[in-house]
Amino acid sequence: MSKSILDATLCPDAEILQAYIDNDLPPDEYVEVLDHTNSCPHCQAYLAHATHVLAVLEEVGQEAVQQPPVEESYERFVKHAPPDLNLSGPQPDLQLESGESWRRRAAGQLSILPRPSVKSMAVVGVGIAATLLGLYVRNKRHAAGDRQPAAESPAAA
Amino acid sequence: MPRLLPEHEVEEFYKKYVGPLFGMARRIVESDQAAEDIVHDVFVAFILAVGRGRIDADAHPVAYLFRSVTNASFKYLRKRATRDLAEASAVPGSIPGPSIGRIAVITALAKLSEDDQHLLTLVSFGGLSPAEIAAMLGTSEPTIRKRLQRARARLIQALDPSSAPSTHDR
Repeated sequence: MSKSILDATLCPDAEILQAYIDNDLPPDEYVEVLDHTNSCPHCQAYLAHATHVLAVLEEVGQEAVQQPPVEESYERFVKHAPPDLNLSGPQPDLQLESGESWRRRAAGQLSILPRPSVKSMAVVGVGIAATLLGLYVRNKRHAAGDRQPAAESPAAA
Repeated sequence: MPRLLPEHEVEEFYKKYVGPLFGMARRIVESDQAAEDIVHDVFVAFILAVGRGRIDADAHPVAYLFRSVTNASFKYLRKRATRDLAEASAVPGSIPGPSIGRIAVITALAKLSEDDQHLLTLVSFGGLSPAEIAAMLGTSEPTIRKRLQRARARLIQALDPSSAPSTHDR
């Protein structure tokens, strides 16, 4: 004799009852569950509830749905599709730019800055040299001016 | 290498699947406009995902479309339920009590796991057989039948947890 699918003290679980509702149990198990449910008010209530829920689900599934004409629906889809899909023109290249092409493009962007000429660089160089020379001479004079009073003071005394 | 679907393929794909996808979304959201918007959004996301190489257009694209439409429909429903509840709560006594009708079943369905929702929706609203779903998901029919039984049992219990049979002593 096959092993009972029902526990000695408990009702069959929801999955077994579902298989029973779906008529998906082997014949001996089906009879076993049938015998149990005939004498169990809890299982009878559960089966009534389950049958009702599944009937509602089926009813919703069978509701008549008026589908919009496919051609018109597609036209609306194309009309409202975001521009990057470009459905009515050539397809955009969605691939990301590689690092190499990005660097080349950045180098191209930098090349639009004006290149300094030799003459302007020479003028700037002479200017910097003159400024540095002026600062050096000024410091020398200051240093000489600081030392002079200290040398003269003993003679004055 | 990532590629965008050419326009004629998009059109062919759209026209082939818009019917069942629209029907499924329409049964969940109960609005023609919302159902069409959902289907359009899913198609746009699908075309972009194929173009960016996130999904392969040749491998189970139908499963992707059905799952996306199911998810988007329940997401729409949750948003609408929150808005309706907020509007209803402004009027005292206007929130209806629970009754196991269409709304209660759809609401319970929306609270199930994504896999359960997907399976039940495909069978009940999409009109697909377990064999068709098995072929679409690349699994066996007995596996789908078993998963369907579990999903149905969870839906029934979600609607009336006190009726769970194995909790009662014989």
